[in-house]
Amino acid sequence: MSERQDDFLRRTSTVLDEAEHGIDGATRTRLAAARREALAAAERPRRPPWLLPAGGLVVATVVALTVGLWQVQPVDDGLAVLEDIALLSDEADPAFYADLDFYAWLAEGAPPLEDDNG
Amino acid sequence: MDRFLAGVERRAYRMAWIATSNREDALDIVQDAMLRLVKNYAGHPEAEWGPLFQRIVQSVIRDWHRRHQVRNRWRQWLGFGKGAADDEPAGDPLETTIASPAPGPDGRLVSQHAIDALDAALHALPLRQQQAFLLRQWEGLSVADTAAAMGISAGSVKTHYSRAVQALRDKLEEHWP
Repeated sequence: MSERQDDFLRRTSTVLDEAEHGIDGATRTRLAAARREALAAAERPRRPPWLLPAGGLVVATVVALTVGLWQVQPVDDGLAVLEDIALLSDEADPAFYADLDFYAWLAEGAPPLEDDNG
Repeated sequence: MDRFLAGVERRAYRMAWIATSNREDALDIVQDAMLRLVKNYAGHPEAEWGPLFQRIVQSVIRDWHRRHQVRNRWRQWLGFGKGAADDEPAGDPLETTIASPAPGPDGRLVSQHAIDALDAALHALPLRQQQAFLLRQWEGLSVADTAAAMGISAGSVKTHYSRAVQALRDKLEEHWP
């Protein structure tokens, strides 16, 4: 590393340190509140099991809406869109990710079901 | 744990701020990272909290970045176009100085303009370069520790860091206030 680059990098660290020390009082107060909230939230009991289906319902609703929108405005990469849904849904559980292939197949136009009655 | 978090929260906020240029998003990222650390690792030895928190912060920032990109893609797909308010993080760091007070005769070593210029240059870097630079240069982490915090290989860290340094020098070295 050249001396000039060393000087430049030292300056970046100095500037970053100064910016950290110069964080305004309102933001410091918010950070302290966020810390207290995080510590308090960690001590609260986890969500009761009977509330878990609510998250699945939200995901199912979003998927249904998306499949409906596909009929109106098809997109090139169905799997990418479904990954987007999973990413945007904090409530999506691992089973949702496991089923992505199925939903992509559905979105791409699944073949009609065969009539069992011949 | 409270003391530990109080000691690292400002630096984490600055990293999140540089990534998002949005105070509320940066605060959310820090709180989310704190919550994950407390919930999942409070029982670990205190010596592990630093590296764990660093890894969590970087992960939450990456999640924010992906969500931000996905939301914009969906807006376009649904016909709302690119939301000006959300397409780019709120405010140009060169013009928005929420995170730092105005310079004054308070003994500060560097000017607000210098801070804003560096923030803007860092914000303009690809996220991986930004993270590699801040962890290596500011946090002083080794290549191996940076790789662990970012969840990538040591070779990738070296590449991202080197490109970040070059980009920052190109942008700032000659005209940094």
